[in-house]
Amino acid sequence: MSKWTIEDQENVVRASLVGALFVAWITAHFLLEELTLRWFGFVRISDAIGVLSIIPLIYYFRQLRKNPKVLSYGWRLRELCGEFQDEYLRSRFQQATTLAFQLMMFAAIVGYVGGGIVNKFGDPAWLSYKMVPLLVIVCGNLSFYLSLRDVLDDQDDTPEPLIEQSSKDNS
Amino acid sequence: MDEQTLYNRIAELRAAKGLSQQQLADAIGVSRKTISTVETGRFTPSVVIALQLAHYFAVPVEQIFRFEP
Repeated sequence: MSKWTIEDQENVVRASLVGALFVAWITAHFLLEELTLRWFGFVRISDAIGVLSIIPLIYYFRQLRKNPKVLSYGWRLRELCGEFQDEYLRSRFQQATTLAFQLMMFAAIVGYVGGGIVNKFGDPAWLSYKMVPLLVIVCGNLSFYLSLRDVLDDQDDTPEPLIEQSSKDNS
Repeated sequence: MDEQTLYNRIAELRAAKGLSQQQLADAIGVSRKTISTVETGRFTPSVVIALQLAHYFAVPVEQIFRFEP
């Protein structure tokens, strides 16, 4: 792996955050569209939610316009595979991916078992082939985004009073 | 295994040199968040970073990191 600057590594995290939020958001729309239609029979509301899935698309294209390198950094993420040279980023990224993986597996198994039970004892019309995969994608991407969203936050709770004290001492 | 709290003097040593977190981070090649979270004890650094800090401040590692406050 070539030497990545800290800025490169932070940009990769930013790109993966944008991607995760976009995928979680748009799949949540698709999932809600299915739920309102299948479980509650609200055809109009379901259609409206489907149309509103343009909002995450707008968000994504706005991010692309603001940061044209989002796509290329997102693509370079596969080179890193979480092996960030910066320890803090690596630690947080690995925590986030592990948690997302666990939640995705949990959602997949619950969806599989729950789907089987509904098909056997309930009304098969409650479920579509889309629901479980959408639930898995929403869980994984939302968890990943929430775990990492503050990782690059400039406003943290680290005071730097000693620097000020030192400056006064020097002057 | 009992979890031990790791205390550090990074903020003190940094202040003595008049450095910001960003300047220290740049000097040893890590992100500012790494310095910030190590300083506040939210993140335990590897031996590599501990040695880099010790080398940078020209003090033994034990003078930066210790188990007693």
